[in-house]
Amino acid sequence: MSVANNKNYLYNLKGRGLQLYKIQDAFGSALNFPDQLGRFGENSSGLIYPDTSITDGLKFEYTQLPADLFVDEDPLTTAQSALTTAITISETTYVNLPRMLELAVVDYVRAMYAERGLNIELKEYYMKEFWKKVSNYESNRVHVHRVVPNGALNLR
Amino acid sequence: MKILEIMERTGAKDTSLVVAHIKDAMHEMQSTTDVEVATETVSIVDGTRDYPLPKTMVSLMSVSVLNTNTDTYERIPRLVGEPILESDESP
Repeated sequence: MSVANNKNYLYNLKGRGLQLYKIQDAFGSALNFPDQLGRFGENSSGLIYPDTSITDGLKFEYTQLPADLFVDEDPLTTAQSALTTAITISETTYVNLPRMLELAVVDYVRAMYAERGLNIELKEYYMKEFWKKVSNYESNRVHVHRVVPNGALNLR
Repeated sequence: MKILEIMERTGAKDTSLVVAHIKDAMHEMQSTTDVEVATETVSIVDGTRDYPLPKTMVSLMSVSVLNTNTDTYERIPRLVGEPILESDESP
């Protein structure tokens, strides 16, 4: 049985894979499993390999390239659910991104073309504009209430 | 925005090159922002340490393990540094 997972498990990234470890409890219960291979550390709180099989037990949350990045319809006038992914990409295909990220993409393409023309200074300028727009998009979605406390000796 | 409009704004002539740059731009963006978030589950196997990361992954946001008592996924922390290997008989 797997309980209190957030306290019992740890992960480590190695190359293109993930290594999952379980923290051995104070009673060394994991040692009762003869098939346990690879024990870490010298004390009873060392790391061991997972000692329980759990179906669909490990979940990854990650970002990926959108499957519907290129669509046939205009995303501004069509509902997201009604958009169809473009099979063949041509000049008339739409890029399905929020407006700010579309503008960022324009800067990225400009930067790449500047680099092809060996104009590194211009490339750096457009890459700066690219990241500025990406961070604008990111910050526009996050609303944080900031409270700045007044110090006791501040002028009022 | 149409690809044609991007080409007009940038003065680009080669459609396939522009499409490749758009995909590259998406990869760059996905490393810092979450335009498209996906999840994937794999089964934990007794005695198995290594699990493959999703093939389409750009950046990893979180890793969770299923708590079989509550049937909910709970985030687990990342190990700080490499573990000190005492013995590893795994092939």
